Amino acid sequence: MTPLAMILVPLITGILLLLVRHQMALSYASIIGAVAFLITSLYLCLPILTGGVLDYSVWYIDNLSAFFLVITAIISFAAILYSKGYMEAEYENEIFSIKELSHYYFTMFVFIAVILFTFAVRSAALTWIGIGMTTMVSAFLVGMHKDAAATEAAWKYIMLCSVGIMLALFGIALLFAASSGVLSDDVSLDWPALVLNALDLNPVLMKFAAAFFIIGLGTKAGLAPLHNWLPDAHSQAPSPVSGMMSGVLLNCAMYGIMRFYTVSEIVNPGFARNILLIFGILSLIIASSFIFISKDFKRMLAYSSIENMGLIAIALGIGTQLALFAAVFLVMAHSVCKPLIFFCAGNISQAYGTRNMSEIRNVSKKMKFTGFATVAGGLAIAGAPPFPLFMGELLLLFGALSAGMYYLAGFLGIMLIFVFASITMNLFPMLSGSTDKDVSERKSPFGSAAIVILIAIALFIGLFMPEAMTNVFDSMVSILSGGTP
Amino acid sequence: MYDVLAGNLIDIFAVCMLLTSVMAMASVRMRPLIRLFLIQSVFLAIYEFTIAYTQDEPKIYVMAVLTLVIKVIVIPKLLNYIMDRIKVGDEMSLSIGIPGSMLLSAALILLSYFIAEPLVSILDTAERNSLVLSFAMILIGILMMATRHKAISEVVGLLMAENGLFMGAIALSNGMPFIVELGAFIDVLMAVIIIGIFAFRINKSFESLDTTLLRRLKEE
Repeated sequence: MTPLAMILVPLITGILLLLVRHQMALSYASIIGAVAFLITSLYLCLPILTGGVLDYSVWYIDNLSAFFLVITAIISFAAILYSKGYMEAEYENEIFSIKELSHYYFTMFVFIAVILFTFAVRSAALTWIGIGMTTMVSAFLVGMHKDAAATEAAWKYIMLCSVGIMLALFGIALLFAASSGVLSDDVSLDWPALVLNALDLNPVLMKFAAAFFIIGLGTKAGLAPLHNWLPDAHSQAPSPVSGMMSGVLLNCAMYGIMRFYTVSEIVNPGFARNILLIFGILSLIIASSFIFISKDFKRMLAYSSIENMGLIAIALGIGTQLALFAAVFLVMAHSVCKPLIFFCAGNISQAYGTRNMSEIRNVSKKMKFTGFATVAGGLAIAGAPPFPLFMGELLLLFGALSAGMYYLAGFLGIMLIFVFASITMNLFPMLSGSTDKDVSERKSPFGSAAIVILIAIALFIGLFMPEAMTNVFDSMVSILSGGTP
Repeated sequence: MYDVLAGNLIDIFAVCMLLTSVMAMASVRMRPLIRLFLIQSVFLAIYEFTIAYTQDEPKIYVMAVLTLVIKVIVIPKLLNYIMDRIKVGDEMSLSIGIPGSMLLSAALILLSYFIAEPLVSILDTAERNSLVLSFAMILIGILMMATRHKAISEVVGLLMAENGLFMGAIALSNGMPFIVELGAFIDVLMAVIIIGIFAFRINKSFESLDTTLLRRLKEE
């Protein structure tokens, strides 16, 4: 199994789906494709997670990349499963034509292929190209609904992220200038070679490179103050896409930042950390205040994504072993919990015909399964035990405390309690109360299966942490602190 | 003597590019704006040819040809095609007037001298001085995106910033690896095509290409 095969599976599935013009055939074919890419990527990546590196031609998959690849595969699989029910409902309500449905699946699979590509390549240049391509492809997914609001969201998304991608490219040009005398031209942008020879890189150029790269990809990761596109894009996209975007797409940018961070921290210790700390704290403040005042369900979830990216940035900014552990743990926790609640939000907004939280009432009675899942998902993203975000946040707090950053720890504590309160305050009234709307749960076994799988994974990570997994996290921490896996 | 001449020529073309950026900030009509972008891309291509010739860097010839094909011919054609199809008014809407834009541009140029100073002093390429100008062009491009409200003018701002970036990348280390250049060109072209698709859609949903209408999504 080669990385190329892993990327080709979703790509070819996507192209084949373009030919299918029958709704049921489309759903089942897409699920078969999803199973295929799930199996191929797990088959390729699980051995790497337990030790070893895959390194040939343009591919480089170490522990860190394999971790992101596994997350991508699982979440994309869940998103495709969930798409079946969601898209069927949209099709029956005549929101999407059969042609648009087939375009949707095509774009979705290409999107997945591009994300897998981003994580599997060795060179910073290819990582950058991958991240750039994800923006182009997902712009169509954001604009799927073709109405005014979706067009506006897609426009903002593509304009702001293009600026971010451009700044990141300038970062890469600076990185190349820093390494051009040190490394030969063929390997001058390869992540492993950069880490090995980091001490010889020009520190002044590397400072500029880090600033441009982190600001650029920070835009794509939704870090404040360049986060404006994110709430619009995540709320206007169809719900499976919203889940993919916050669970997987934000990780792409975070992954790029992590790789660059590793190199930059060896050359200029503390420089990238400080930038990330500032962005993280800003994101946390802005996101938490908007979570508090949000009225739109999906916008609130989008702001919660900004909050979580901020937490990850803060964890990287603290930079001790414990904090780095918290960073990767938070990545995983967020990637599992956020799609879960986005899928619930999709079910609810389809049934009620609105995303306005004050108009949605009595979900637990009217929609038994979704109500139950929303309780689980809501607690999960608010950061309640036994869900993994709680663990991650706790680890982050301990990381800050053990690094001697007491003010930061205090600030984090207050912010996290505030976010917890805001999310529960906004979300739980929807479950009870009474509504005069005629609402019923739509039967969609596959969509429910996707939600159940995500709840199961979340509970598993939150409650048990097998030693094998701890080892995986430990080796990722050593990669992030500049060592070898 | 020859080196001095080469250095001067390179600086002159770089300054010409910055001047077109500033002129674009003073432009109030869309067609001339697209033409200014075309002129700037021509200067970029000449700049690249000059460097390729004087510094003996054959791979920059490829870049220059790509610039000519994509940025001088294809993208302006595409933009003009979009303008024709959507029959949008030629005048732009600005949130900052021309005098304000000029003052801000001047401030950004000063700022980029301030930022880029430590970088220029450690570089050893003949065209290192243009790095400052490239910073200024990127900043002015972003300013243009922020203060111009027609979809096409936002795109031109992005493209002009991108021109500055290409110039900066060459000034830093005589160009990046070929794969990055190619990726960047494809990225720009794709972006313009996708932006074009959405421009049609904005036109259809809002019956105008004014992106001030795109301010409806926010918290109440």
